[in-house]
Amino acid sequence: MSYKLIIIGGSAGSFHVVNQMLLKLPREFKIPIILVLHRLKHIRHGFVEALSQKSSLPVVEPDDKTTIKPGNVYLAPANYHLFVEVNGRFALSTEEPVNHSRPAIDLSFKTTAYCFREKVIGIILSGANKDGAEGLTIIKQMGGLTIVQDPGEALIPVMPQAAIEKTGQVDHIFSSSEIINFLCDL
Amino acid sequence: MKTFSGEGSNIGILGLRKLNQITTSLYGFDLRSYATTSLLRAIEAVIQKNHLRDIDALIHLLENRSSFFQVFQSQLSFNCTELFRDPAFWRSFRDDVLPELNKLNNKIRIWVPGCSSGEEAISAAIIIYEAGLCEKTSVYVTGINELSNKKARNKIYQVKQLEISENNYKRFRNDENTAISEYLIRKDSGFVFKDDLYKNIRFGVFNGSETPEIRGLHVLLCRNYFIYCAPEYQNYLLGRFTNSLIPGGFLAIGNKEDISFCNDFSRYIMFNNKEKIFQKKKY
Repeated sequence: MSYKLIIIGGSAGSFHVVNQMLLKLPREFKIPIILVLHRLKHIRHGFVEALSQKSSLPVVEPDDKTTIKPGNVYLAPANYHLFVEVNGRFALSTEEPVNHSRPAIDLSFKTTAYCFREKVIGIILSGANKDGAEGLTIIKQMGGLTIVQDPGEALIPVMPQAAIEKTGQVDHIFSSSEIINFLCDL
Repeated sequence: MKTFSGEGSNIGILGLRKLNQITTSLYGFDLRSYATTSLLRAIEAVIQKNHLRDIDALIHLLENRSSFFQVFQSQLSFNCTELFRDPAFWRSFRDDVLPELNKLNNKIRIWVPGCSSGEEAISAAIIIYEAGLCEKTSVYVTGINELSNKKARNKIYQVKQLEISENNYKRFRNDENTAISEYLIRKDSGFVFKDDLYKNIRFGVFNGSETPEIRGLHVLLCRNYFIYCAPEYQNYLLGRFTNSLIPGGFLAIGNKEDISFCNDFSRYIMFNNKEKIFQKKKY
């Protein structure tokens, strides 16, 4: 197993894909997964519970300074930016929203790229703005693997389209079921 | 060697080390107390704001113009961008914490350390005003230096900035018809808070190192401060903060912050789990 981290960004239209993924991933799936999904800032509760319902892996919202551990799915909490630090821990920030978003996919992706380099898989799903395009580009530059949901299949194609254009050459453009199969085969 | 980059500038760990050598040796200011990623982002922002070429230009400036240090330090501080962030927390502060303190016959002393732009203190001041507790309450606000205090005291809000705060306030009051604008007056191109609200607020300096802490405190409003601290420094600060609180005093941290790894964690009991309000043990 050569990858140490999977990070997934999505917005409108990505919930169903993430839910399917969590349903299909086997209980013994070890690579930690970080979900950075745009969400309403004032609704802090309920999202983890909704994702947990069908998931065989534990889904948690990490606190600041939580150490990233295998076998967990981490959901970026509401109204914070989520960073990955060199020491293998999460860090949070309340600085200004980026791309009108907090959490911003770009920031989480970038910090992940700098810390885990070629050991990262970055995935961009359906969404209505361009957040994540720059972050995915940096993952690519640092030698990580880049996957984008096929804009033709995505509920809202703006985000995957932007990621494909900005990154230049993403490694894979997959349908949601192909993404899930790819992860299951890791 | 790991390098960090972003926003068009490049700061390596080496650059950061060089910068820290200068800030420690010339100004006694140790950057290792900061959480790394946020620090790097803040330094990048300082470089941009001051139209510097790169981190070497910043180091050069700090070496040669000591008056720039205060600017640098205050620009490093992190802003909470909204008032009444987490309305549910402020409801608990009003409905659960304040009544406990009101039972005491003393003055109520509240400290907001590291409150870079004043939003947490103003939110508290509004609640205290509405509870009719102005007479018996003092709010101490400390910034990293005089400059950051001035920024917090004189902050001018633009209408757009106030949108989020306005919505937070309505949620806090559970009333669509209330408006935070009641507390604002026009100034220049935006708004400032009425002087009444500042009556009980005292500004001071706290940069974690040489300044003595405020003692005999009833509440420490410390939300989203530790996220900017390195783990060891957070542990050290919590120790100092805990000593500042009276037995039975309250500590509030951000709803996604954690103090369970700190030595002084055992000196608290959980008061409100969801909103991360702790109470210092009475004995």
